[in-house]
Amino acid sequence: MNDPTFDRDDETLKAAVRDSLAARDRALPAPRFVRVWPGAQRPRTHAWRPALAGGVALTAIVAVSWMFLGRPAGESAQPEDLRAATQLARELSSPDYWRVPTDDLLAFAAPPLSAELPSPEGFHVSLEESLL
Amino acid sequence: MLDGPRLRHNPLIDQHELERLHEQCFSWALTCTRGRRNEAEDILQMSYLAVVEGAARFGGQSSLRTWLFSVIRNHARSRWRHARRSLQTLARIASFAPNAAPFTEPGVPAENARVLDALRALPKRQHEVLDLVFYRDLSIAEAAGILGISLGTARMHYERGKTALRDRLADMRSAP
Repeated sequence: MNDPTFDRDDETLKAAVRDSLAARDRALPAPRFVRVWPGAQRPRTHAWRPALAGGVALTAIVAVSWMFLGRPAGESAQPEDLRAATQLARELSSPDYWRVPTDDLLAFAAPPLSAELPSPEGFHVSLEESLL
Repeated sequence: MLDGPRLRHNPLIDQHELERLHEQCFSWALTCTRGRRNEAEDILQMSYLAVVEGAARFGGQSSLRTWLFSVIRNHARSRWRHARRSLQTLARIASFAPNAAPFTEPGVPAENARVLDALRALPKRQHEVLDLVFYRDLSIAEAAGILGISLGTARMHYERGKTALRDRLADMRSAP
């Protein structure tokens, strides 16, 4: 094979290396700079993360505060009334019902009903129907 | 000449200048990874990230190109060490010797591929010194700076690399 490229001359060796590496670089071109460059896009891409974390934390704080501090007084009192009513009902249904102090009965106020009751104004029953 | 936006953590670096050096950086990353394109891209990206975040600081003592080459080379070396450790562990477990598969770039003429094979067969430092001096027109002193070795050591790798490359190419030529 007639191949004068690889002799003992540095310049020839250098040329062979240069040509080969240049051929490699042509065969494997560099990716576009913006594809590899992490500079400007990165902070903008991830900017929503702190905002999201802040929003979630704020929501959690508001929810916990509402549960322990912000509940209306009527709502927190309701279990207390229910306990008193249960106690009174138990005492009245016992054989010693007559021992229940009258003051307690007078002072008792039943908690308001939460269920909707039908209004009597909505009923129109004729006399015939009422007799049947 | 600085004419573009400066990097926040590396104020001496102009982004447009980096962009101009991008192809050379990728080519050097290819050499550091022995022609593995995906690895070269990863290493280049890691190097750029280090530059953007200021983990690697350019002090202006050398040219930006040689400094970038040394950053890329350091990333390639640490990655290569990590990969080698993993491979050695795997080899111990599976009881086989690590053996790099022959690698050829598609689309490279046969004669050039032969030289590339001979270059890759050289010890890593010899390969890198020859690449920097022959292909990128750097001095042996600059190559020594990039590789983090003394001038005397770089000169030794250069001389031995040339001799070894000539011998390998002669062997290839004489082989059937």
